[in-house]
Amino acid sequence: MLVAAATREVKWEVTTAMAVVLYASMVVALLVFAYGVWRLARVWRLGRPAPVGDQLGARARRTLAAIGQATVLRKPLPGVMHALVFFGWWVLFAATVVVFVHRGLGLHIMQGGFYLVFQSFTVDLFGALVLVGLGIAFFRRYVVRPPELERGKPADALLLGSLALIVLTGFALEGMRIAATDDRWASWSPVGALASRGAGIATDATLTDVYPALWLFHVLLWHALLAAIPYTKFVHVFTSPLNVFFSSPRPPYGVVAPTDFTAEAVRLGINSPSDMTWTQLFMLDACTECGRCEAVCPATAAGKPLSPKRVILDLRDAIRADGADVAPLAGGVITPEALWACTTCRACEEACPVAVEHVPLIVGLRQNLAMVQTSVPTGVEAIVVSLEAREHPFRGALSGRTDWLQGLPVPELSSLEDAVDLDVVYWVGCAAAFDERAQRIARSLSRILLHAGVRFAVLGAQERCTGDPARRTGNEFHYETLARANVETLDGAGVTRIVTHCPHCLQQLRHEYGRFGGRYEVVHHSELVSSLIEQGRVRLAPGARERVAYHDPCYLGRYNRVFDAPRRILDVLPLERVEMRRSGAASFCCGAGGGHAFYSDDEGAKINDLRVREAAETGATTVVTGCPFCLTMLEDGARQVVKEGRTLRARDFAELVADFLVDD
Amino acid sequence: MILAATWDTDGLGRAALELLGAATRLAVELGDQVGLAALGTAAAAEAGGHGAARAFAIEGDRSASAGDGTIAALAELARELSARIVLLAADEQGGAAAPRLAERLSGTAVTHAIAVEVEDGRPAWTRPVFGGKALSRVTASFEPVVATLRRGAFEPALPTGGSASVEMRRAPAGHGAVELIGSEAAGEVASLEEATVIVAGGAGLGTPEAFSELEELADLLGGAVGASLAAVDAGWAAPDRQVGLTGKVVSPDVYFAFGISGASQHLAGIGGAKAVVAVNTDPDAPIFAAARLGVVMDGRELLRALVDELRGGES
Amino acid sequence: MHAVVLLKQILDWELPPQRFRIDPQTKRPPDGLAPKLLGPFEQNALELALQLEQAGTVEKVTALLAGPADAVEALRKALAVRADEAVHVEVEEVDALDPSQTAELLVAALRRLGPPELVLAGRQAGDWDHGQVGYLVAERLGWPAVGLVFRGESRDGRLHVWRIGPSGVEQLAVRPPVVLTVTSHTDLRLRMGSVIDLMAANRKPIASWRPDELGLGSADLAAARRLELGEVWVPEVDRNCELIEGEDAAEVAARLLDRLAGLELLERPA
Repeated sequence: MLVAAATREVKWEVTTAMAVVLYASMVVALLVFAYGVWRLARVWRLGRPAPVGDQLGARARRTLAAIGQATVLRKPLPGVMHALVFFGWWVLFAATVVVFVHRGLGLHIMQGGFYLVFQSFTVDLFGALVLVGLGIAFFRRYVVRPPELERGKPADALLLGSLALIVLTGFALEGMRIAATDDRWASWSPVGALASRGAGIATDATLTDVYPALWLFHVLLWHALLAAIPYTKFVHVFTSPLNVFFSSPRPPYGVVAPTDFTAEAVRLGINSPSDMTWTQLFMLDACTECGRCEAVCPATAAGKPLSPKRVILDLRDAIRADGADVAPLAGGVITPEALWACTTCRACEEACPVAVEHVPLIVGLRQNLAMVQTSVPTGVEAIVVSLEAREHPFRGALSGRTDWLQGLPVPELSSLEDAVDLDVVYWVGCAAAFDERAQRIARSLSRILLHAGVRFAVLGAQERCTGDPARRTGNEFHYETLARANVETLDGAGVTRIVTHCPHCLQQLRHEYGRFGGRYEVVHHSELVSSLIEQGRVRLAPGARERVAYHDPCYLGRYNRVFDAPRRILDVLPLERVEMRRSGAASFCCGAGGGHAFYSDDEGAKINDLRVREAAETGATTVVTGCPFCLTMLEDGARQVVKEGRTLRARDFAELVADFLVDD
Repeated sequence: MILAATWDTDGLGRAALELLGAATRLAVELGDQVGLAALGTAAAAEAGGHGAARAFAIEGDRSASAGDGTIAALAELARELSARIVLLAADEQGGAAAPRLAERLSGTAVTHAIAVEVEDGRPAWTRPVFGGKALSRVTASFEPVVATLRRGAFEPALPTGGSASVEMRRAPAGHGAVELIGSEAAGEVASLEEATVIVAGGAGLGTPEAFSELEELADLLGGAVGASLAAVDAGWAAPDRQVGLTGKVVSPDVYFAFGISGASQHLAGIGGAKAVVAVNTDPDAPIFAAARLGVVMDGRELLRALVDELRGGES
Repeated sequence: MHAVVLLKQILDWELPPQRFRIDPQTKRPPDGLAPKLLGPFEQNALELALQLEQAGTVEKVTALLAGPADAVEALRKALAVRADEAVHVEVEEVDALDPSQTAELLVAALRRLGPPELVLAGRQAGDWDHGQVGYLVAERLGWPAVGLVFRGESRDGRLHVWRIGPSGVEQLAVRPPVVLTVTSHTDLRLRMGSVIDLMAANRKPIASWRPDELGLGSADLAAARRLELGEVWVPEVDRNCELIEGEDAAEVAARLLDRLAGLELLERPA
């Protein structure tokens, strides 16, 4: 027979009654579905307005990439699992649409080559792939049992099982039909053909008896699953891609929502759903409970009472249950210990395949704890007190703003006419001013800049803390006071180009000061030094090839996407550079972020110890970084390792470059 | 009359002897006599043997009105003797009594004196200011001067072989508005202000267990245990062990600082130490700038080694 | 009971000794050397007053500060932690006043404020460290004074206070009016003000009184002086620290003990 005539009877053995059940159950399912969505939307509507109509192109691109499984595939095994189920499901869904078009609309497309290649072969193949994917899912969830997956939720097994059952019953139905109708095109449906061999054992009569029941079961199960979508984590099929679309345009990364202190009723942080934006509430429903955030969280790894996944899910469950009457979120639904354990490193956000933004939520909750409840760890209070009194967070510091210079011929901006003739202004930051160890970074960088003939100046006594420690610990009021004052100083001196060695200062000056009118070209010292080296302005001496490992600071890497410049610099130096297990955008935090340079949690291990061990594992004798806080943390941790007999020290790459400088 | 006053009852303690020593020197330079007032006859009886021309014992309920009666008695005595200078120890009682005594005598209080020189027939007092970061010299516009003297800053009086009979005075009842309900002794732990050796620990020791090792060393050296603010805040030591601007100001012969970084508020409490021994893993720690001897090493390690050495050295 | 807390703004006491300077002309640190902050013991006194108010022992807390115009910041801070009122006695050269003159000003202000039933002061001001003002104020008001207090509680109609005594902690029962001088204690760390209170504090009015309004002309103030300030200087500190080294901890320990014995600072047990 001609291929063109290839087709099959649609609705073989399907009676009118069964069809009615199909359509009736579909309607019921849709109603239940709609009600579920309405319930969810009720929560979303509690939130404040948020703009989602800007940068449509970028948003669309990100969403398409996510739908294309790019973000999910970052983790191979579950990524492949999900891609198989995802694409497979689309194909199966397309097959159903084809049937509807052919039968319901009367357009006879389900025949001929299309029928054979797509409707038969491709559909069967992808259906099988769905089963493979589900098999991987079962295996991963119930055999491998990664700790980051939720446990004790029967719905997880039920959902996986239902999906599998739908596909299996689908194949069974196909097999029965093929067997009972002696379908000659059976070989084009390999799985169906396989199933028909099994079905072929039974008599035609049995098959025709069983078929309708199984068909009804298949249909009703599918409709039940549809209806269940908004009541289970399956809702992610809609909410996740939408959430990617709604998520903040990036760059910039990790920006905290501003507080309007001039408003009639000032909103200070998050303590109830109405303090969140509707996009944040929506985001809670986009979480697929995959646990990737928890798996990469340094606080979780150190045994601290924080899991980013739990923050999202606990908020989601509490708000879903009690709506606007939910218990206080900051310190209630989410404990203060969990909130203060966060280092704001953004590893969770980087790992999340559906663009959940954990950090602004955590900082928002901290804002309420700090500014309304005044419930903060002692160390955080000390930061605020010190910032208020001295405009820097280094309580008990023994130096002034320019003591680090120790005679280096670096001019202060105030001694110059203006900043116009300068190539760049060097923003030194508080760490290098007040922390004796970090002062060496500033001296090293100054030496490099002087050597390369860069015309630069420092702000000296006019510099004050950028306010980052206040901002990350929720103290927006103190942050704004500092930020506004800094912008006034910088603009008053006509500063336009800034270099800084501190990624936290970088984040503020580059991305977060714009709100106060401060717009500057800001580079990290790795970017500047790298370009100076490329321009041939830095003369370096040869040396013994020490093995070094580069540690990506969170605020340089994940926040500002500077990964290559420091590596290029290290590759130019006579060093053997190796990568740590977790590097680049997957770098593991040193533990100092979120204000932790100034306070420590009581519970859990020390995050920097974990990171230092990872560095030691590479066999490197020096761990190199580009952040004064990472430097302190890694050096502290290295002392432990050194006690055990290994050689390990921590240095900023500027210090290494300065070591190899050939001065005339 | 240069009148030294002490709250000692059973015998003259070192602080009182320092007061007498200072009083004697002043008396020589001003051509005056020394008197001592104590709260017990036993203490007053020793005054004559240490340079006092006259000795007084103040009787009465010491605790009445939390010492207000004593102050009234001292004021009366000072008036009676036309005392030019009254000397008290710069401790809890002296600090509370001096301004009030000065006020009742229409005189001037000078607190925390660490030295005194007579210039043009008037005493000029040196006292620390700004938490010990600076020194100042003050003179009184109105006599008598009621001065509190810092422990360990003045040489104690030597035995002279002299004597003075004890004259009794009675303390009035006081105003009754303040009643002492009870007092809780600081425990058998040696007082930080009296100690000649202090063994102090800070956050750099790393664990609260180190503090029991500090106790051991203190015992072996016959000293007291102190703590930095950081250690107290961490709950490793009781607040009354804290040395520093907001804790105790001490003046031992030797002050061991184990794992203490040397924040300025801590340094403010140990300015009076003859020698500070700093032990810290960080060679840049500010404590070294204030120390006479330093060891760059883990505090706990050295602590244990010192205990071992001292134990091993015992016969 | 109405409580008044005596506040003072002083130079940042955490300024390290190496950076501390005295201007020999003015006999005090040069302007701008370090920021001025509400003194540490005054913070403790304020915290104690607020705790007493929270417990219902005190109904109203007024913050009183004698100082220059910019010292009003310290009063704003007091309002930000919920003191009820703030009063500023404007004295530009408050550093030039001795404890007796300061006490004279404060007593006049206190009389105008009531007088209250309870006055809390820091045990000493962290700049000149006299520790006299609290007691002088008590004497001039004719009140008793209890010093070095770190806790207070209302019991059987009296105010029970706990304070550092000569041999530990003493518990006293006082009948107001009384002056308490407050010392530092972990329970007396000044609370953080919420941002809402901070913002409200910036809008609250602060009464400002000049000394002559209190009946103290410059002649009266001058007459109250008792202390003459002579020289103020930063002493030379011998910064030579001798490092003790050794192969291992045992050797270092032995050398250290020997050196201490050699310097006649310790007796080396045989």
